[in-house]
Amino acid sequence: MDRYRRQLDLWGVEGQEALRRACVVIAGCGGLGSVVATYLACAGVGFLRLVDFDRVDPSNLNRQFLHWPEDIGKQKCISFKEKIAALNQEIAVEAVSSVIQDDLAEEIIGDADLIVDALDNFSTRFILNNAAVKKNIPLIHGAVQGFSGQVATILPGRSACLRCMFPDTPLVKDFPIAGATCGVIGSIQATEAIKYITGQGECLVNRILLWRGEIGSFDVVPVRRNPSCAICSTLCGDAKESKP
Amino acid sequence: MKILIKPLAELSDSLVERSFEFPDGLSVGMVLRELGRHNQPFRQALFDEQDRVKGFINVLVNGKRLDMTQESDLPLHDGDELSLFSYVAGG
Repeated sequence: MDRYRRQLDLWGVEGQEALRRACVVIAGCGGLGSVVATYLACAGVGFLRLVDFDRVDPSNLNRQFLHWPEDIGKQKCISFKEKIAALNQEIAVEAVSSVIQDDLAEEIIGDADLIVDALDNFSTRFILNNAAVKKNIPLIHGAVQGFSGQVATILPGRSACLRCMFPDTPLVKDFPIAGATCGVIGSIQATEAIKYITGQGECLVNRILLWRGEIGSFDVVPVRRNPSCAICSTLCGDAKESKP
Repeated sequence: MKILIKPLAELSDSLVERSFEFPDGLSVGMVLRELGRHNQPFRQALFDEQDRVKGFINVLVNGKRLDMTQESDLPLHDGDELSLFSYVAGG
């Protein structure tokens, strides 16, 4: 427990035990995933499942700090697992090399307590959202581009889902990303995950946080569940009453 | 009728949040076009070349997202809050 001494005053032994018992899926071993995986491992989340189909490319190194030059060509989820397992040897880490697609998404998320969306495109995010809503597993959304980003926490059955919040899939192009933007947004996602698991504070539920690094500005916008949402109004399982 | 317009994220570069007075009965689409008519940078940020609201712009009335391909005719009412923001996709 000594390694967690500086955080025990925040959530107590009970909260630390909740973190130790938690299983969190991190979907995407890239820029956001680097930050989220690092902070959740350091905080003592007991089981991390790291999911990515891709391999490390030199162009990843400006922001995906868990991948190092010697990892180029390696599977991203393996590269992550090596670093995260070394960072905290008290936790269990699983690497899953897979594309998140319709017929696999539910199997990949399994019976996790929480999912963190650290993906890089909305097509896959919508697949993950469908599976999360269907299995009633909370999902923490994050995305970045340039100096901008956004975060929202989705509690299926109790809040707006990704489909309630986002109308369309933005055009995919080779846009720039400042590494530090991943740091800002990934840190907020990790904070949301820790708050949810330990029962501290108030998550960004039915609210979306928008960050503009160019001018150093945050906005928080209220969002509402769409009663006729094609996803959460039909797929949602029984609402969870308690946190892990 | 008085409508609070809240442009957020990049859209706040071209229009500052404040209440605007519009004739009663205007729809969301009409209000956005009226704003764009007097503000070229805002119009360019909001509408595509076919004069449709860009697909990655979120339009919310009192916190509820509208599908602007089907709901741009929704009438606004005095005191409504219209929020607009773009969102990003990378990770």
